[in-house]
Amino acid sequence: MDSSSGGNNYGGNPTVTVANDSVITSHSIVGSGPLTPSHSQPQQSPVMNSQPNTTSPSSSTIGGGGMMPMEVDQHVNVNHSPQMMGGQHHQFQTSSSQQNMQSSPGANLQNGENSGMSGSSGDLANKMNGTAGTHMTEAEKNALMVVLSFLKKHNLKDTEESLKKEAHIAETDIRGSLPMDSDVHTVLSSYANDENPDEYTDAYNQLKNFIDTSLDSYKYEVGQILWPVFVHMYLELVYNEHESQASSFFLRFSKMQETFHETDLISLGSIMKKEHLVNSENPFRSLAGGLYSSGKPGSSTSGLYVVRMSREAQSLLKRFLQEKRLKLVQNIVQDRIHIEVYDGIPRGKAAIHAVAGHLMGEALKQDNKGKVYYGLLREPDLQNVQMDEDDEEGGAPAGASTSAGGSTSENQSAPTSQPSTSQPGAKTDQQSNAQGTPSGGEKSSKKKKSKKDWLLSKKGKNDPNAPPITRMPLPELRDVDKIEKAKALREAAKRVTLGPDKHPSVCFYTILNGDHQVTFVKWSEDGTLMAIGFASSLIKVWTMTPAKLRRLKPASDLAEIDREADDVLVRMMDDHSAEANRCLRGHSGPVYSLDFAPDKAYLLSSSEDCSIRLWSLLTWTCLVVYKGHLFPVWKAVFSPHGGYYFASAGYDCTARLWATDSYSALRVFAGHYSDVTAILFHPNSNYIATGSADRSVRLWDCVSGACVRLMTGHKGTVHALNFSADGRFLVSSAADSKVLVWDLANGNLLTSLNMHKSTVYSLSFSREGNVLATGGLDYCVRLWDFMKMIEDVVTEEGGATIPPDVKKISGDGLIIGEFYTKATPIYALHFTRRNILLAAGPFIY
Amino acid sequence: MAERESSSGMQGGNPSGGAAGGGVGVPTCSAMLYVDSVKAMAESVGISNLQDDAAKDLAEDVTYRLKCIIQDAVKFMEMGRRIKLNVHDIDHALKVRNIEPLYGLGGPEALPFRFASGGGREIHFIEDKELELSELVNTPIPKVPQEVCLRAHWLAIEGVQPSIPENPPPQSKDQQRSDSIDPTNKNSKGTKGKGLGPFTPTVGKPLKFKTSEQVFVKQLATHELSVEQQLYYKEITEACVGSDENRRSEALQSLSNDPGLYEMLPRLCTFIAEGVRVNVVHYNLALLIYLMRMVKSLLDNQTLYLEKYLHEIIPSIVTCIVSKQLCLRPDQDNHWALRDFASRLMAQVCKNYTTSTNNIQTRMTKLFSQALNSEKAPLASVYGALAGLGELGNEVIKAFIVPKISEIGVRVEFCVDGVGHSQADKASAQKIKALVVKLACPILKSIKKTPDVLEEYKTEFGYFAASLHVGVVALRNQDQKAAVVSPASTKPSTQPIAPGPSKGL
Repeated sequence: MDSSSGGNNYGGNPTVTVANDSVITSHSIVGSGPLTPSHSQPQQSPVMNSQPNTTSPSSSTIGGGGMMPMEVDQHVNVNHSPQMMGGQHHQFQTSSSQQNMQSSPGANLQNGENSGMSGSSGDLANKMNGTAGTHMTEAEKNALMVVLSFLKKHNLKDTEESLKKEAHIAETDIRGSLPMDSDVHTVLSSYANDENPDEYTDAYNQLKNFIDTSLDSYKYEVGQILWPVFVHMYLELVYNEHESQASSFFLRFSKMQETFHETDLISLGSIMKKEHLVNSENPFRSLAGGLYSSGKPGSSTSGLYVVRMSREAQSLLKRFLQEKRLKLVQNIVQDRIHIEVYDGIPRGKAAIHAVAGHLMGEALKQDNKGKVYYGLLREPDLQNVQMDEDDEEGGAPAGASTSAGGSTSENQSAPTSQPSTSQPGAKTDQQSNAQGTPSGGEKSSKKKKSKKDWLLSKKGKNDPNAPPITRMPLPELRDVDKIEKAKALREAAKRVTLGPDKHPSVCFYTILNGDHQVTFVKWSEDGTLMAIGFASSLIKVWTMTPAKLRRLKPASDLAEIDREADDVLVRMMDDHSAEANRCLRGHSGPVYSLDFAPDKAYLLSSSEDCSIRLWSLLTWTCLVVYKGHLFPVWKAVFSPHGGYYFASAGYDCTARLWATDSYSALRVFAGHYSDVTAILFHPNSNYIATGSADRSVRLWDCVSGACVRLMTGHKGTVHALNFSADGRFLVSSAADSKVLVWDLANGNLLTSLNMHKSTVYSLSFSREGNVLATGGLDYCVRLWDFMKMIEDVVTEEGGATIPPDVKKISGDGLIIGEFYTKATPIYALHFTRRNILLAAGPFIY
Repeated sequence: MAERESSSGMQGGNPSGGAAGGGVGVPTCSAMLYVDSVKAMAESVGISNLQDDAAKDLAEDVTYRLKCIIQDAVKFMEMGRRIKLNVHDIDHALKVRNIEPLYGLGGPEALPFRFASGGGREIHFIEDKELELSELVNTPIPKVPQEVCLRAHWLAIEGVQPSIPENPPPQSKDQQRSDSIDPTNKNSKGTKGKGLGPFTPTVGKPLKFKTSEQVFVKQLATHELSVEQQLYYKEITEACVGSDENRRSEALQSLSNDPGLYEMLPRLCTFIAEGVRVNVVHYNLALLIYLMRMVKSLLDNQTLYLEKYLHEIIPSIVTCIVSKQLCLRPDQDNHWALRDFASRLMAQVCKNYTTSTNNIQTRMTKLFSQALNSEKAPLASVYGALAGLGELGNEVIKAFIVPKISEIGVRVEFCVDGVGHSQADKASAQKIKALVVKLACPILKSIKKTPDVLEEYKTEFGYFAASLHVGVVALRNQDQKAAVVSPASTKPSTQPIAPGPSKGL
């Protein structure tokens, strides 16, 4: 199929990546290129408008499997090290976006960039100039050095020379500032010492005894250092080739570690020789890598294991270490652990346990200090559009029902009518709605009026936590988007408000004959389309409504259509091609995630074959292949605003921000210590949340590229994320079968929901945000009272910082329903606009 | 090449994880490749004299690399949302490391390891059969796999999970069992999860306890049936005892398969118990049979746990086994079939529900042997008791029937030969004789020594001696014939890898 489907399509040499990831600092490695949305984004109908610059018209055969319409040039050696991305100016090759720049929301931004200072560009441009100005920062210098060393290694002399000339770098500079190629060795060499290997066991034992016998109030705080000390002592033993002592040390103390370190213990235990430590990408490399920054004290704490403890606990520990003269422990505590001291009462076991689990310890206070604009953007004015919609409904019902999207009432009642067993007790809201729609014309118009009032009142007050509308350049709303939003609002008027006393109906779609191949399930926002990704690299899209999936007519036929006709959208579709489901072929590895653009014209997919593909759901072909990740891409998601931006997360420990009309990523978010396995846009598109296999959740600012929140507490790989309806709270779920709720205002953990018994892969909020639905491999859909979870926080107006209270973390009494399937794991959950919960999973035999 | 590496590379992966190679002893990370395995692999690629040190170093290194690859493979498994690692996960993990994947090992089924030993060496290997190419070409092409499709059902309707086959039973069998064994368990659960599930009995609204003053009130269990369930109950009971055989079989089918019957169980059991009580007085054989078939269906239903209702079910069944008269014309009607059928049901109940606390089997055995001992018991009851005991297994027959054979023989002889006995009694006597022979012969065959002397039998078993002797001898002859036909197959298979499944008797 794919030309690059052989075994070696990972372009980069892994060892190069390895050499560099140890120097990743926890934030601020970003491409400082401009965010440039433009009006030339892929259009709703490629034919009706000018050809999108990324579409290749020649590829319009169905499922043009092997054909890659646009091979995006991958800058293998530059892109694959996040470090190198730092400070590089991206060349934007979007010619059409240049033309449209004057009118684009990002124009200011780009002008500011190009002409140095333009007074009008405001905050944003200043921020950009801060990083891109003439002053070369430390990080940029480092990046240049890395590039130079790469050129040198591959004997690209001319380029090297010219680069040196341009950057005014002398040979001596390189020697001085650049970590040598064998940086792993230099990092690890700090482990070298000539201590008596037999003393380690004794020293650790003394430390353990001291902690066990100290007062209960300090015990757990001081106890936090047991794990990092254990790891470093073991690695030190291994590095100095005291193998037998190392193994007996491991044997003796590994059982005393907290249970949630089990996965780390397994990988730690596999390191048994010095060579293992040097040559591989084990997670402890990043721990060891921390020594780098410890060389320059105070500069940065990244790479050090972070332990937070109260002043009393810290002084207790200090006293003990001084008294006993345990040099071994002392060295590790000084060099390899960052202890953040806070004033206040020491925390208990549960409080510490709740935030433990991250590979690198707890989040620092300063990590979560910055302000996050978690409020929602103002809703656009939809009054005009609604009027049109009214007319359409009243005047030409026939036309409306056959329009490309299908009429709304049809769409929504359809999923409910599909289950074959008609239930006697099924007094669901849709049924009553279905009756109401044809008869009660008056009623619906009344409803709409009240809706409008509500809309106006909403508009009246501005969310103080919302970001300025110009903060992140967003594409302008098109007519199609407005119509879609109006539809959504009308649907919203008909929905049932859920709560602890009003439970939703759950419609379950079992995927039959999936043969253990199903990897991902996704619904479009309105629940009318469903896409399933398979391990066999296939993508299948189903329609959930009677409206079949049609393909665009061939170009010759399209030319004959009268463009001014009212029903042009219907006419341009080929009726003969109508099918209930369609395949998209093109990937050459398992498809790990899918996402629909808000207008349902595009589908984004990410795969093991390292690529992200953009598919058109009009021509049913692949439009663009985005190649930037050099390792499998675990997730790709669209921004909720217009489907212009999208973000991806991958095996390479980075998350990236992209625009559909650009080949290369706009931002690279580096900082996670392991695979980034979950990613999601904040509802206001200004932020991206990521979850990782390093068991942390981070929030990144799309504008500055900085990591603005670091949330620790998961004990397993994070698999799903979701924002609450008001944008303030983030919910995450992980392989530790916990669901955690975070407050983005301060990054605190609010609640931990512990009822699930296996990995939770799907989270969904009801439309009004009252009910949270979770589901995973334990065959159970659980419903939670979200309002009760956050009532304490919300009632305390002003958002005083409440430290996470142990009692609140239990999460008891919040569940309002649980529904087991027979033995079908739940892969996806989705609330329709009328609050019907859709769930899906493959039949496993 | 790649294939060989993989198949031999697994050799040392001894699941027991011995202490070879100086591995550390924590079970999670102790698995080490054996030095011997490394040598075996070296031999397979033509290196015969590998030094011990080299082999040990290699073993350690390969173990480390394998562990790294497996850890990566687990990532792919997790992202593929599975809990079972498959070959493709390993392939992807290799690919990430820029190593050529191992082609040709992917398969839907896990490949079983074969084990072989010899010459002091033990190896695990994957069987790699040689296939005839022409045969392969000529085999018909396998069917195209079924298209992936969707099937929708309601998991819940406004918070209530409908009882349809797609959904799990509202109360799982395990839960029903734990409830019936430990009622306190249920009470505590009931108060804790009050108002959350649709099937907790609703006594008022779930109260919110704001303060710590929690009062635990034991809830009255209300057995309210919805209108649909009442309708279902009516339909089912009418169909089960009605005259339409088709409807009856449908109804019985529903009883044995439907997952949602738990709530109706008390009613159904009462229906059966009452039905038996009334119909046994009226000697209505047909209805009794229908009712027993209902019991059978309920017993067969995988989602029901009947323990709580055995006090109603068991007396009904026992009535149908040992009642002195079950039909209007005992000499003509085949009430023996009902007794046999009910005996089988009884055995099923004993097998599924006997516990150390309720001792059902012991109590049943006692009950039946009392009937057998009783001088006054009518012959029909004796037959029932024999049938009931006979279904409970060989040990029961040996302990309770065999010693009684001569006593029974006396009564039967008296009935058959004596005068003044009804036709029904004579029929009973014949039936008892046939049953005793059927039950006792296999047992006697195993407890008696080979020369079967008729005289011995006569002294021991009296009236039945002749027929028992014939039966036992016939059984022995049959055995011998079977032994002659397949002498080899009776030998226990000694080879570690048998060419095919050995044919047992």
